[in-house]
Amino acid sequence: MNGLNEIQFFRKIGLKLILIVSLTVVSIIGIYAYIKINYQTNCLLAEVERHANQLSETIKNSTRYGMLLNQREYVDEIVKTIGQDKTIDNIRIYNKEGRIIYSSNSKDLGKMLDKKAESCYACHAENKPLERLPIKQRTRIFKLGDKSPRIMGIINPIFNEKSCYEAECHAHPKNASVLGVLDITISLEEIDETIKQNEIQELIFTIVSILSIGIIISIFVKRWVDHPVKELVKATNQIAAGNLTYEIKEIGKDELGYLAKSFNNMTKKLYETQQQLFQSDKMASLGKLAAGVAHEINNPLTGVLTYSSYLMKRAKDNPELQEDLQVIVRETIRCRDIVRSLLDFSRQSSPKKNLININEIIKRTESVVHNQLSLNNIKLTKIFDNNLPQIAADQNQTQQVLLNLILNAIDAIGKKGGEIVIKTKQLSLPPKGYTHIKAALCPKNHNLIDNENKIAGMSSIRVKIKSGENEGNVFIDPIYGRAQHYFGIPIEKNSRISIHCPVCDISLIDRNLKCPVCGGPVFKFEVPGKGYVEMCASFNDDWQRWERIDNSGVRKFVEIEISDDGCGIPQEHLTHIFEPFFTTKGQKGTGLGLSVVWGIIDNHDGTISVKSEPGKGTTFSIKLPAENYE
Amino acid sequence: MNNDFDILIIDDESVIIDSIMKICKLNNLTADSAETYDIAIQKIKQNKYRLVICDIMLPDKDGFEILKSLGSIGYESPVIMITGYTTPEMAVKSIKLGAFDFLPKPFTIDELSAIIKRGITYSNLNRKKVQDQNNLLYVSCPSKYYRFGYNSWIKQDLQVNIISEGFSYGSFVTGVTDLFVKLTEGVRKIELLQINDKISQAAFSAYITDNDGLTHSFIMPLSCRIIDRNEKLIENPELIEKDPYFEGWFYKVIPTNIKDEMENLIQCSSDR
Repeated sequence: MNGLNEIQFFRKIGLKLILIVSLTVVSIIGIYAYIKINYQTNCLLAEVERHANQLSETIKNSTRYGMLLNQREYVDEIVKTIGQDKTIDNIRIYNKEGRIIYSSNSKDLGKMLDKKAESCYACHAENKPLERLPIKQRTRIFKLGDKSPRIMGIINPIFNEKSCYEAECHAHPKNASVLGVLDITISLEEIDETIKQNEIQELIFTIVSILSIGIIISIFVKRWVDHPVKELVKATNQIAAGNLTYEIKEIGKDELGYLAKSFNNMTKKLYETQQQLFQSDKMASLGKLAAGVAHEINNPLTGVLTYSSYLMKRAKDNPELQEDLQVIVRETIRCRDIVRSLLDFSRQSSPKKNLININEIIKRTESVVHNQLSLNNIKLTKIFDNNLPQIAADQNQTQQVLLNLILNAIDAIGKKGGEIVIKTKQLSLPPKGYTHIKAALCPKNHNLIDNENKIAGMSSIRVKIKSGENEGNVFIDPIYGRAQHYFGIPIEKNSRISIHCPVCDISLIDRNLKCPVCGGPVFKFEVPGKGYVEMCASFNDDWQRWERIDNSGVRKFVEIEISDDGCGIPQEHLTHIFEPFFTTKGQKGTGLGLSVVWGIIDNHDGTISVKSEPGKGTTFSIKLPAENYE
Repeated sequence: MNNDFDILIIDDESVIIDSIMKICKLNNLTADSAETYDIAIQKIKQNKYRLVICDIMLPDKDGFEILKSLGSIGYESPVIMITGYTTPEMAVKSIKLGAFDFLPKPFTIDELSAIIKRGITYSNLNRKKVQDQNNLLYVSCPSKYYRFGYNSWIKQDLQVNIISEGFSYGSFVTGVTDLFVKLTEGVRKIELLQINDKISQAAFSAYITDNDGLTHSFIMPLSCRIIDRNEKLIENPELIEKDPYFEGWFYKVIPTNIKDEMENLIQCSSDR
């Protein structure tokens, strides 16, 4: 599996995010820019228009006197002088017939204009009487050619006045309303340039925004999404490849960080379960092997035993020979006992429990290894809790465990001498995490125990869960308070969850109860004779309550700690030491010792753990239940 | 009818056959051998053996099949089961199917000799019984008693004795049958286990040494915990010869798995 590299480029979350954000930004900035440019253009044009109108009024007023006096050269001079301004394209005055009588461009003089021409149309609309028009309608924008700049033209009609028709020249009759038109055309080249620049600026702004948003998003997506997701994918690949010790580094405190944490938690639990399974598996195969070996060995041993004792009976008159044969018989019987104990172990035989005092057993074991201790200059210090309660345990097996651990400690210390400390003490542990739920019933008395699906080797409690649309099984951890459940279906967070009996579908939810941790629903089942076990039904947290057991108080354990200051166990060996046939002693050991120890402690419902630091020493600690709940 | 051999040894390993032959020879008994189920059945039908010693693991069928076949034809001679698979389950199954006794391999000459002695004596008793009827050769166990094979008996002692949820069956008292005592032919010494020991069904749990110095094993009828033992027996071993069913009791016990194991016992009332 290539992981993330297999995802097509356009399907990546980062790109999708960038695309959608860019699209939004483009539309918002685009609309904004459009409105802004429009507004600016309008403002600019209005300004030009106002300016042109003002200019036209100015020309009209300044030529008025010349007109009244009929001083044509004077008018012409004004028109031409003003028309020299660069922005002004042309200034023309038409008479009533449409002939150009004044113009800043002398070539135009005398030309006739069609009344249907664009500049005239506003006033001379077909069949309409001449009207006084607002400025807007007197303005026009046009182009002379494709490449020439835009031009704004504004016409200003010169109306008849009393002074006009009463003037001495008598050029105008009294009944004419409009005497002529002043037409100014102004080039819009500069304005258009400004507008264009505005547009380019807006475009650049838009592109820069999209680019910077894209870069910022991609940087943060890479940091907040890409990197953690890559880590997670890498981790899942590692797990899939069987590396259950892989741990995701701290990748933040957000949802993905939380996911990584719960992922780590999951792999840790998986690893523990796997180790336990491995151990049970190895024990089982060792059991088969031992049974096979025992049978094969028992037949030849029978031969050795009977023949040697037969010989012994025949050698009654030869005491020396008889003595030698006695050794053979004795040692063969020892072989028989070894094979029997191997078989006992392989069958994980239930220990023959008596009430024993651990301190006594330790003292007895010490006497067995006394010689070896003094030979190796090893001091054995016993720190006993003298009020240690008696526990129900197999005396021989317990002694075997202690002997094994002490002999290991002696080996670890070697010839240089050292100290072994054996401590015993009483422990009280809460029932949570230790009490095994062995029976569970629904309200209609259907058995919920599932012998086929085991959790850490123990039959689970099966309930039906309905989460959203899904429906499936949850296998509840039978150890009260441990909560290593196995979910047959994924549970959607915040969906409506209900729990049912898998046989009769009756709901196990107790409507009167709320989970004190998350406030969610609570389900419960009956443990016959021992009250009800209640659990958080949303599985958001591990809340559980078993009132009867909680009230019965803590469980008592006896703890035995055996520490040495020997060579220690390297970290990489620590996980293997309880495996059968694992040995670092070469030819000296069989690798069975600690696996037998593990088996015995397990059979006593106890636990054994080890702490070690190479060069400093090793501590084994054993917890055995002080009360027999069986 | 052919009476050439006293004992038939059924085992697929020649070293076992040879070993047992030697032991038989020491006891002045003759022995024949068979290595498979088929040959064994054939030989049993043709000869009148006084005792059969049978391995459980055979090449064609297992020794339990021999026990079943012999049981169905009402075979009189005792059958002793031996096996290298030394589990209590094997012993229980053997006894349940009517074996006279069970001995795990490897065994010493004395261990097998003790069982052979009892087997041959039982065989002789059976023949005597046929010869002169009405003669009481041994006392069978009282009604309300249960027996485990020919070896031991158990009966309820206290009706109700609830100690905790797990132990609500009351205590039982157990001992050896009169037949077993008769077969040992004189008790010299009895060794008992400790109080509080936990024993599984069919485990050896007391040792009775006879006048010949052979040690016979008492097998526990039910898996149990010992709560009391008959101290008088240790000082006074002959008690079991006088009164094996009352004064000569061995242990008071609390069974640990009575539900599953009761079916392996035989009600003494059915013997009458």
